Amino acid sequence: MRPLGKLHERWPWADCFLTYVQHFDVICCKPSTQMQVLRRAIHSGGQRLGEVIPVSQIRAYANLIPRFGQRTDSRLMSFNSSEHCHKFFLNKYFDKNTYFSLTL
Amino acid sequence: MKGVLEDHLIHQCLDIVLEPLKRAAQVGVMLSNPLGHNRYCFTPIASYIIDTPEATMLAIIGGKTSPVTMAMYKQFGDPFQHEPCTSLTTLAQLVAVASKADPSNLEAYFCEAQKFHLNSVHIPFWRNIPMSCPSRFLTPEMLHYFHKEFWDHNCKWCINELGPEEIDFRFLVLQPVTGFHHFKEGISSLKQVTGQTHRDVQQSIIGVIAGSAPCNVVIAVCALMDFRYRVQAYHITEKDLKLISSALHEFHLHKHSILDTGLHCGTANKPIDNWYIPKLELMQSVVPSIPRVGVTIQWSADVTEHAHIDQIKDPVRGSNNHNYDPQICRQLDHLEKCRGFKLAMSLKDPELGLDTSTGAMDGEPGDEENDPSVISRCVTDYFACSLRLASSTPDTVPLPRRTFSASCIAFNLAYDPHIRHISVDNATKQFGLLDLRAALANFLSYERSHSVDSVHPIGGGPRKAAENTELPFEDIQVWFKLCLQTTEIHTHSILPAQTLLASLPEGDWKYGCYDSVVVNVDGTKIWPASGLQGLLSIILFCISTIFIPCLIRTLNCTTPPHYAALGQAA
Repeated sequence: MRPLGKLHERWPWADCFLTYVQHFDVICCKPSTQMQVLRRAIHSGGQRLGEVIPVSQIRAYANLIPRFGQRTDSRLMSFNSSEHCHKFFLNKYFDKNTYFSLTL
Repeated sequence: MKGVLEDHLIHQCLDIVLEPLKRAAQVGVMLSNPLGHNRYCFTPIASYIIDTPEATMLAIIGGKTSPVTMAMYKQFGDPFQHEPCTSLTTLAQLVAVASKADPSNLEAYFCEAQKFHLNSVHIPFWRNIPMSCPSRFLTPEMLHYFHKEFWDHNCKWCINELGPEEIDFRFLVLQPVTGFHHFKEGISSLKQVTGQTHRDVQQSIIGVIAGSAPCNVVIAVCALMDFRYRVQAYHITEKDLKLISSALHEFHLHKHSILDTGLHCGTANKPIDNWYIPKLELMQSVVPSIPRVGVTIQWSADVTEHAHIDQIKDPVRGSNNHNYDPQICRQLDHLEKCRGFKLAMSLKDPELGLDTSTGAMDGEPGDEENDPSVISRCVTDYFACSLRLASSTPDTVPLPRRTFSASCIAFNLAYDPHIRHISVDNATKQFGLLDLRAALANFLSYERSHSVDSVHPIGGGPRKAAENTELPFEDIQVWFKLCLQTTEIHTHSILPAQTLLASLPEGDWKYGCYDSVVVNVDGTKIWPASGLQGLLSIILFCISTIFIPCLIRTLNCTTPPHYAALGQAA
């Protein structure tokens, strides 16, 4: 721990929560369901794209459902599905508010 | 014949009970409006909220025929609305039946009535109420028309398509959402489910089947789901009505694929090749009903269905399981007397009256106990909290403010952080976020070059900051939970808050547990009006940590160090 802050200077984050977020790209919209398909955004090096933003930029909860193929990988569990799956549906049917926001 | 007599009895009872309303509907009555002005009012029946079998009984229609249209069971799957079954038609049919058989001769009258698909009640209670036609006042009802239809049919198609094991496994694999049911045991073997469970399954079933079921089946199921969601809106415009009709039309265009693939099964899992589903026919009457009597969601059976719990189930728990009826009646009678006594006391003693009113103000739980029709739990209003906090001077509230709002969303965090302080490097390791320091440096450099309130963009080329950049602070506080509260998109009423998780890897959660959010990265776009417009304005994220940097003094650590630092800074 180092006393780094210059205490008499104005500290702009005294009233601001920050959050680290990882980015998903919208890759397409499935025609049969009209649901967006998402994929994690990655750097050219394969590393996930993360950013720090103020919490106040968050607008809504987004429910993601892994995009299961013909058969589901039996190693998946509820604990790891969001980590191991590659593509997700942005679930517009999560609730009525989500539905109306996403189908405008 | 017993059933016939029962129907007769109900219509006779309604006749007696509704007598004052009938008179008011015929000649009018003076009623005072909320402003206290007297108005000359008429009381035709606008809506009778009821289950399908009871609806047919009220419309005095026999089985296997629609209560609101002339369609009989073979026409239930037709993609259009049949001619409405009006009160005039039915009354004319009654005259025709009466001319052939005497109503007092039950059996002969029953046989004759059946020829017209009537149930042999000869004096329907609605016969002399002006402007009250069963085809209009039997309004569509959410629970029975939509949620049960989904559960009995759509859900079964999906289970048959994927197979019970596969669909159960998929529901198991979904990441649990705080406040919502997680189907650990799957959905295929559920018995005796409530309307809430129907909705919980509706939430994710499309996403679950979308990848693997045949395209046309997905389109058909999806179209009905769209129909269901759109009809539940609180505001419906002409344009919405068109969308609702087109969703239903879409289903009828693709429904053949469900029969073709043999997904529509009856008992013993034998495929059925017809659409004799009464609820499917009833869906046709939803769109015409909305311009006549208003949005469907207001005619919800929730209150009447819930009355069964208040009026029957709860009193039964207090009984000794003998003589149910008298015991229930006695308990309801006692409760009624207690309520009357309380009310009288509060009127007599102003202090007591004051007590109850302030009690109700605090969190309004008292209100709910008194009023059985209020089912929903009371919702904390974070918008009001944030306004209160924002208007108070910074010295009088602990900073940072734990409740704050931005455009149409309010946030709430616990007063105490889950990790009081942790160094940035430690956080990097524990959360497994290798680029945390670089992301922070990036954030700071953007903050320096733009105003503090500007919206932070995302991406935008390679990151300039390196992994080992010096930061103006070393420690952060971390929160694992964040409550989001939004308002209903049409009525702007406050919705219950949704808790989001962003917690450390722990136990079974080897990778941590992170929820996803929609983030605004373009100040010119306003959610939700913008939708996911342009796909660049709003991007989706999974939140990995929620934190606040804290300044820490190593010396004079008598008070919690970060508060001292923050207090001075402010």
